[in-house]
Amino acid sequence: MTKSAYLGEFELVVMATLVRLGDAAYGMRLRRDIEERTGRAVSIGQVYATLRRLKGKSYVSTYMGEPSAERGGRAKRYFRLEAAGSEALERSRSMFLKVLADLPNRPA
Amino acid sequence: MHRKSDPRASKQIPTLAEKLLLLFSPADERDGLAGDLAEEYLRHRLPTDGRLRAWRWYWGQVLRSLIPGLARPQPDFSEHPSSSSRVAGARGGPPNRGELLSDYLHDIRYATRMLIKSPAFSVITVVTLALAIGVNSAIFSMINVVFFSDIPIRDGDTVGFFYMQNPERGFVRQSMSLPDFLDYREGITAFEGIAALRQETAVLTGTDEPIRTVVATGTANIFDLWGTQPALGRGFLEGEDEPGAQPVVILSNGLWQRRFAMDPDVLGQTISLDGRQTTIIGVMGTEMEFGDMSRIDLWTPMEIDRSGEGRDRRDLFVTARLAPGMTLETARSEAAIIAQRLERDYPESNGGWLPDIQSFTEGLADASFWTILTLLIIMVGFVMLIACSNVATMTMARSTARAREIALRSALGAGRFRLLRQLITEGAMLSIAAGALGLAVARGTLEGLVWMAGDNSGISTFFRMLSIDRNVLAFTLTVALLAPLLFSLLPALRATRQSLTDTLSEAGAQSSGGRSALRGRRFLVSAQVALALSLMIVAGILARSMMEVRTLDLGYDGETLLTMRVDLPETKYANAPLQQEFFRAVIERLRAHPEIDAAAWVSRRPMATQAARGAFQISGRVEEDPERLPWAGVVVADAEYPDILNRWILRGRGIRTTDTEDSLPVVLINDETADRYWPEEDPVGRRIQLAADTGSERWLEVIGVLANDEPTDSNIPARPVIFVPLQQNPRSSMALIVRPRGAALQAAPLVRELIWEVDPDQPVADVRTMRQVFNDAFAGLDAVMAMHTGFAAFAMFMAAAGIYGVMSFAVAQRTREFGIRMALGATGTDVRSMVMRNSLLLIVSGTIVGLLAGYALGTVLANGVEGVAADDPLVFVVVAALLMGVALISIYIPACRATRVDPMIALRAE
Repeated sequence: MTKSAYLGEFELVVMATLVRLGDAAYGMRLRRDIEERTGRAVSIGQVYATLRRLKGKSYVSTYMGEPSAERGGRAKRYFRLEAAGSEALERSRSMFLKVLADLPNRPA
Repeated sequence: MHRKSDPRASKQIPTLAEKLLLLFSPADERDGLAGDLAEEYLRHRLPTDGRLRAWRWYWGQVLRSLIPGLARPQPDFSEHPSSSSRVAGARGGPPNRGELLSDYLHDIRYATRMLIKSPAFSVITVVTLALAIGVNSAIFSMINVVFFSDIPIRDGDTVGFFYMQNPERGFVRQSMSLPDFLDYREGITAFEGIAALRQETAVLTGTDEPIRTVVATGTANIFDLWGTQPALGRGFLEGEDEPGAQPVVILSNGLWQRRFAMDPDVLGQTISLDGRQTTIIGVMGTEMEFGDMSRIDLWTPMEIDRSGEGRDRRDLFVTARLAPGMTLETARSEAAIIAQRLERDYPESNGGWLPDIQSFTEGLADASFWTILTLLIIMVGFVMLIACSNVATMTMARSTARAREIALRSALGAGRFRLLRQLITEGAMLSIAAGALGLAVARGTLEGLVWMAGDNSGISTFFRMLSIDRNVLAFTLTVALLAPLLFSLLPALRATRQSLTDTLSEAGAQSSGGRSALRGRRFLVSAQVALALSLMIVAGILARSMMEVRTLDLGYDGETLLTMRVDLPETKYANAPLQQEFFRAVIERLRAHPEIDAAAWVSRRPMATQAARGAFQISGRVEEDPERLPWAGVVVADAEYPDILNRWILRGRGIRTTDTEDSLPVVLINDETADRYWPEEDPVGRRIQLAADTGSERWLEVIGVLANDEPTDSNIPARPVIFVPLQQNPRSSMALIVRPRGAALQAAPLVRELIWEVDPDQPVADVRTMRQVFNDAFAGLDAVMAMHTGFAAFAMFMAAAGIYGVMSFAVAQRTREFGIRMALGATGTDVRSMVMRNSLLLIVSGTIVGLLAGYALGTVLANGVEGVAADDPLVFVVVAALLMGVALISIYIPACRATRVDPMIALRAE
């Protein structure tokens, strides 16, 4: 298996959040959700950079929404999980589960 | 910082940050990114965090988004989250804050290692910049005092200083008389208020030994007009400047500390001023201790006596504040009309006198101060240019030398951004070191200035106000941070753009720096010589002038003469006989004492201050126009005065003890007066009448001509002075000149004792030797000279270092060429003279430009400042020779190195 078959940590976080948000997945929501869930400061640029890479691997696709005044007249850029992405996410999850399964809590 | 109340202001998305974001993000992501940020900013951040924090959040998001976005190639940080940042420059942007920080720490460690590895470069760069920044800040602090300082006058831009001038007679920035002041106060509508201040002296008794105090007496509105109030107690009330008001006084902070031990209970106490019981109503704050104001001990309300004072007693310093919407121009035109009326109504006192309303900044300093300041700014600019060009040369040379290292790192996979960041970090570390050191230098320079200026000249009052303030601090840090950053950024950009194969190959490493770069460096050599030389010439001119002043033969031995001022309080010595009696009694005691060789009274010591000018009529010459009357400084002296100063009587006789109240009134004139007004004839026996005696029958007979005070063959222009006998012209304020048999200053207690035998309440002041009096007249110039000399030495050192650097670099680059030449038979001397010949041309052309620039600056200086002459060719020759010598040494050493090239080694490098 090539190494790109597995997701990096932050990629995994982004993809998982993407799934969770479903149709409402756009930059700002993703960023806030990740920040809340992981407790790490995340910049919008990092989120976009990761999504850009995931898009390059055809794991995600984008489509534009309607512009709104609240956004300074700019359209939302939505992200959607693609089939390949779904597979990669599943692969990473099962790998993580396998690797972590028999680990005691708080290993010495 | 919550400003929800202003919806319009708070709905603003930080424009610059958004522009940056749009500029640097990929086209297809732009809208999404900017929209996301805008939405979160407006919906979540502003309402909860407030404007400032939301603003900071937005900028943080943009910057943290952009920095990794600039990096190339895009890193997959997830794979080697810890190792990526360890390999210097091998990886791109950092994934999060923790990694980012460790990257910076790494950069800093690496930069420190690089800087330590070339200590000469680092130390010289830091010291060069620090010195340049330091002196720069010091000078700007000085300018700062004038433009932004905490002078205790509020809203300086609506304040004007109201002087009088008489262009026909060459009087500028003169004070105003009280009746004129009242007329202008009445007539000018452009002013919201107009206030006057007059300086007097009064003897303070009742506490300790009696002291002579400097009293500023002002109109009651003075503090309101300035927008300042005493720190303790109250200011003057309306009506307290009217005759008959209760006498009140405000203590200066200094006097309060010295005499009243900072006792807050002084308010309401009474002190005796010239014997008059006066109530203390306030204590000034320390902000009043600036400039000339720091000499003031007490503030009292002026007694506006509408009938008594003459219009020719011009001693009021007048400040005015413009009414809202009014300009100084309006005030000037209104004042001109009043002046015309006054000239018509009072031709004898007001003829030719015009108002001169100056703005706050104009009024603060006189022309010579501005000349000196302008020159200083030019000097600082030159020094800064030399320093910057040196740093640029060094950084350029270094980056060329490092081109291979950079190329190698880039070949190993370091991104351009990563390399740039590394180089910038190095620059920033130099900046910080130079900034910190520069601040210390600035402090030192300022303290040096204050110390040098002493406390006895017009310029020194400004120096005393100096301190580094926040504006200057900000300025220094900006310069410090920007300069090396810029210098490291430009070569860094070039270095990272270089083609790998060229640079990595031997040939590429040797040929870096093309024709244009070489020409640029050669120009720097010329320019540095020119800049340094012009500064050195100015310093040379000043040093030469000061040397002349210092070694001037005064005609007497100033070191052996003790002098002090004695001011009799007018309440105690109300009339002439009392005053005469005091002066006579003191002089008798002094002359009788075995320790005292000679003693004399004079109202003004040579060079100490300007004598009050008086106009006079010459008998037999009818002068209708009062403006064209002859004038001279009027000095009251006794019979001993010419003798104690070894002053020759050139014609006629001196003042004698027989010239008394009852005998014919006489006058002794100086050589300059005789030359000016009796050019063709002998003035002895002629009669003159002082303007003050106009209308009376009192004419003075000229009994003799006295040599000038000003030493001949000096640059100090002689002024006309006339001497009138003390016995015929009683005065309450005189100076004593004593020649003791022993050391001058050690006799001071004895002289004081003898004065106190006559009057135990009588204070003496200003105890100095006559040499000090003379030297102190030039103390300000002295400080300026020291400063210029320091700059010039610094400039010379920097220029030498710069030339040396450029030449070493040029020689190093041509090593192979020299090797070939020597292999083909050129001798060491041939090579050396070839290098020298090349550079000599640069140095000579720089010298010519420098001489011209120095002459121009010197002329400006000589025209603006008294006692300075720019016409000594010796200065130009010596200074140019010195600089050329230093420059030649700076090129000789690298030239010699060129001859030491071993042809075999040079060729084998091919």
